[in-house]
Amino acid sequence: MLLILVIFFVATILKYHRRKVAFNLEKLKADFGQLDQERERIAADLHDDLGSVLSAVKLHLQRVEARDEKSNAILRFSEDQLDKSVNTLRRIAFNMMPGVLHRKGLEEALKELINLMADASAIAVNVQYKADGISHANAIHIYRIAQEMMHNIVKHSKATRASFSISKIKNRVELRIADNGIGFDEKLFINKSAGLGMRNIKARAEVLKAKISLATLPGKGTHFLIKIPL
Amino acid sequence: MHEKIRVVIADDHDIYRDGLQLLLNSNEIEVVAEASNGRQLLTEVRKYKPDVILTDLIMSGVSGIEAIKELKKENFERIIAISFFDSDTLIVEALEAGAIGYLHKNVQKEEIIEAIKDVNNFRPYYCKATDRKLARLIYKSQFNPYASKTMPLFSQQDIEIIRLICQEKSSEEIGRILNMGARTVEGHRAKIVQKMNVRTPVGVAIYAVKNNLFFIDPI
Repeated sequence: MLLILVIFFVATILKYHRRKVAFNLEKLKADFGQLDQERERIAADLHDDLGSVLSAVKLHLQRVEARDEKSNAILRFSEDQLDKSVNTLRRIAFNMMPGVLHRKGLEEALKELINLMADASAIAVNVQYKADGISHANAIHIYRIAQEMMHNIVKHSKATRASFSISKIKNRVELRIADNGIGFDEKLFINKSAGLGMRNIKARAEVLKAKISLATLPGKGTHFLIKIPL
Repeated sequence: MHEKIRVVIADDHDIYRDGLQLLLNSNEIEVVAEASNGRQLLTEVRKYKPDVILTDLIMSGVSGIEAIKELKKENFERIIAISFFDSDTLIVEALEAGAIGYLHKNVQKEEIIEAIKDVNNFRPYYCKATDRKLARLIYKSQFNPYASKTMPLFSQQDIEIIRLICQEKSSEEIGRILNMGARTVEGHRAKIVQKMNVRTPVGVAIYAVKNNLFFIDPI
């Protein structure tokens, strides 16, 4: 009798736990869905509306005929500031959600991201892309993981070379991101107290039901392998 | 007096169109119609048959890219894509669709006028802000405004200079490599640019790659 009670009790706990896990995963998915949608809307508003208005203001300013050197200098200064604002706005919008991800898909978006990062740093990045048939929802998660990782490489790794590859093997996609930088203590990734960026990577991986393996040692570079079931 | 270049402009922002129109209307250029989306652009172009079309790429409804494809089918060739987006792939899409020039929205007015005049003469126009990355995408794209034209003859020396320009060498550097004075190189460059009917080093590079005078490493 006692045994039956214990079994029943354990089974109930397990069932409850499974439900909770499933519920949390659904919630995580919904939260990310909402977040990505919102980001897309803001990025589009920035680009399409604010960006065009700033460009238009510049056009209008160019019609002013400066009467003297001082007015001319003020005009120049204003145009320069407008150019700078436009560039900042582009950067913000691109980080929010690159339009190219929607229009041309993951491959082009990743190439653009890596180009931008390679241009902004002195890191030589080798890219290989051999994967197709990734759904748009998954593409956003993969893009964000890659973005976060590339960001870490540029910001913390002190690497001179990095490689990025994405390939399709049977029924899964494998994403490999490696660098020859200073590496880091693995515990920082495993710990719950990991930084926001790392937590985001893990949460997105969870939604993708992906497995992350990490090989890194201080001074020995970093190698991430993420296996995503299709 | 020569005739004005007749232009139709399309952009979904009134304020941008207004600015453009006020800036362009002069004794050389006349904006004959405006459109706020791709569909309207098609209607206005069919009605006014302008010399040059200047269109934004992202517009609601029929996009600029779709409109360019349609216009190309109807034999309108002198199209300039104007875009706020610095997304390189979008510019390449516009060129593949049929535009022969492109401009970023925040260029100086002189450049817009220069682009209109060039494209009016069927000369491809590459925005001066074009960087290496975009140039590379254009090399690799389907866009080839030189395909049907007969290529002028370049001497072996011209070709050497062209290849060095493609490697972003300055006239001084080219002079050192080929043992000639920088001014002699400048003279050759001027002739090359004239023969190719382009303006900038990026124009030279795109022409050279499209006509197999220079080969780039694939990435």
